Amino acid sequence: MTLTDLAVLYGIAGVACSIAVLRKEHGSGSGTAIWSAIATVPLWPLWAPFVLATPRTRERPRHPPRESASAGHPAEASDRAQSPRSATTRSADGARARIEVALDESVKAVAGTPMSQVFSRQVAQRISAEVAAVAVRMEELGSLASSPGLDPAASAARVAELSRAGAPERTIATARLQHESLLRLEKLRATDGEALDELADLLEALRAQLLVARYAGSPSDGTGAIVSEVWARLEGLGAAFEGGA
Amino acid sequence: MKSFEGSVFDVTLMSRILRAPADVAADCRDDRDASAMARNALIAIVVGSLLFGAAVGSWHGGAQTFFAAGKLPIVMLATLVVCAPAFYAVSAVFHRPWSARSVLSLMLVSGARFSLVLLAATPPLWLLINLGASYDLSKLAASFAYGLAGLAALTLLVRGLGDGPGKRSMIALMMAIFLLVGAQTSWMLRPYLGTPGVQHVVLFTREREGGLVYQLWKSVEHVVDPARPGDRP
Repeated sequence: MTLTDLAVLYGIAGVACSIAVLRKEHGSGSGTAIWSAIATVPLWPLWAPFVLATPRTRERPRHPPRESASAGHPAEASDRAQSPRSATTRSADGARARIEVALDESVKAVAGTPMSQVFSRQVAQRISAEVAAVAVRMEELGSLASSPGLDPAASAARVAELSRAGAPERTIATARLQHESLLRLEKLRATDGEALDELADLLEALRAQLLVARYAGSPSDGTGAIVSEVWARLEGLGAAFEGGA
Repeated sequence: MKSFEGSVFDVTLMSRILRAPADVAADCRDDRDASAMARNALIAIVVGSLLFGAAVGSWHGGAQTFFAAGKLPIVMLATLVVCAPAFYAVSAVFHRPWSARSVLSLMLVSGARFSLVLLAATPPLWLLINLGASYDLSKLAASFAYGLAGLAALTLLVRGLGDGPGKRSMIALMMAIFLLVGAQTSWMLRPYLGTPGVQHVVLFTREREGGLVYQLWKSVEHVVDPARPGDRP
């Protein structure tokens, strides 16, 4: 095969990818789709995956969907309201709301001051995105906890029941493993919740520091330290996310 | 995070690629805004290498400036195209089973960092050539800029790989692949500076010249000892 043959094959693949891009973005009806298709012809190995493949990115809704406590049987609704998932969601939502308010007010506090370089709106958006990712993870973990067969209380009862019934050791070991795994999931969820609460406290402290700096007319000594601490906590959240994903 | 919402080119992202490579690398791994990052990275790669190519080609001047400006983006993109599957496979082998989008975006933003450094090196190179730098000095200066850009891209790539088993082996393997492919691709599309003593400009050279490393070594010899007899006209 010569270089020309290879180039022809490459071009054919490029045209095929380009057609696929046009078909996929047919609904968008903008010039962007055409430019994207044109770029795909020579650059299909680099560009086509971004246009054709589905992103595996985690959805980060600003307001995660909440389950309706009024839906279904009243007893079930009550159970759900008491479930770890609902408690976690409430806790995460509360922390997120505090964080959003603190971020917004911090950005307003530094507007027009030298501190706006330290704490810009972009920084606030980034923190908000990280927090949203953790909230989504907590939502996912909460959903798991309420799934059939993944309830730690039920798995504990199962271990006890098997032990009482004198089941083989191997069966009990399997049930114990299942229970321990579910407890770890629960712990992960609790850790995330605590981390979000701590971050919310920290950001509220940062907001207060920035307000002091604004009205005192000079940057407060503690502000830089708190900003560094915020980034450290965010890295911690990111590490927890990576480890759990 | 975009400072210029809706604009074709995201200047903030370029700033982050230069100033916060770890952040950008994490975004690539997590597939956050991967399409936007890829689009901006491709634009940066083309623009940066085009201008650097023009500066290199200005040593000869005339049509060579345009030829070099056109060829350098092709070298960059062709290298990335050839290396992309290898990078994907190597990362999977070394326990990093990332999606194609993550791998490609990491590679593209590394390429963008490379091109941004080339862009930064363009004015000094242009100045050097305008001050009458010799063929060999210009070639070495351009190679030095390329090396510097490669180091800048490597730091982003290393941060993108994160901690994990086989990190050093993976870096060594990736460097070897990029160097081999990049060197071969650029060698195939030479000349960029033009040929000393030859007035007419050619788009591609098909003469046997002993390879890239040999030519760089000859340039070092000529810079150190200009009176040394060589195989150059």
